[in-house]
Amino acid sequence: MKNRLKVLRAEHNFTQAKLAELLDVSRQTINAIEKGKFDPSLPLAFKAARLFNLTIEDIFQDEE
Amino acid sequence: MKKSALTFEQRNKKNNLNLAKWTSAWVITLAIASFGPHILWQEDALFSMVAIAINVVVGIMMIMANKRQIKGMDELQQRLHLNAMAITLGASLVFGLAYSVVQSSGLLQFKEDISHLVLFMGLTYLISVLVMNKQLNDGDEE
Repeated sequence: MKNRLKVLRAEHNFTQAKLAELLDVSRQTINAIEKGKFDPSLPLAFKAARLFNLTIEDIFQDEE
Repeated sequence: MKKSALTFEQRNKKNNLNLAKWTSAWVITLAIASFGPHILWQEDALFSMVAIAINVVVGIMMIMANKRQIKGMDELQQRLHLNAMAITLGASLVFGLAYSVVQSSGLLQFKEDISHLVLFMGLTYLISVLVMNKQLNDGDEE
């Protein structure tokens, strides 16, 4: 799954640590999601979408 | 969704500390139950039973603390630990039974002990977590 988390994070001037704190996860998780090594759960995807005021599809895209 | 007043880092730290406390207590009570009969109470069966009972109760508390610690992790860490547990369980089963077959066929003369299995499981778990963490952190930034 592709995602725009890194771009959105940069646009909002968040560090990985700050975003991790806002989403209540570890910085390692943010890094893994940004690098496409880990696909987040639906609740975490919703949380990210709420934080950036976007829909899940705006952040995460299926690669098929 | 229930939200904790503590941040993720604070919650993790608290759970780790709690687990460390219960693990230390369990190791101490295990040492007392193991060495107490010879050193402290001269083989008195009642004292031995009480020491073992305390060790088991503290062990259950340690298990609960471990469960709480894993529950407090985020989803990536939980998955990582689930994979490490699967590897540990599988390796213990496969190598444990292979060892049993090797020994029963007389190919190996080695006096095994339950502590060897505990050590094997501990090391397998630790190495699994470290390797998976390294794979995830490759190319880490910030």
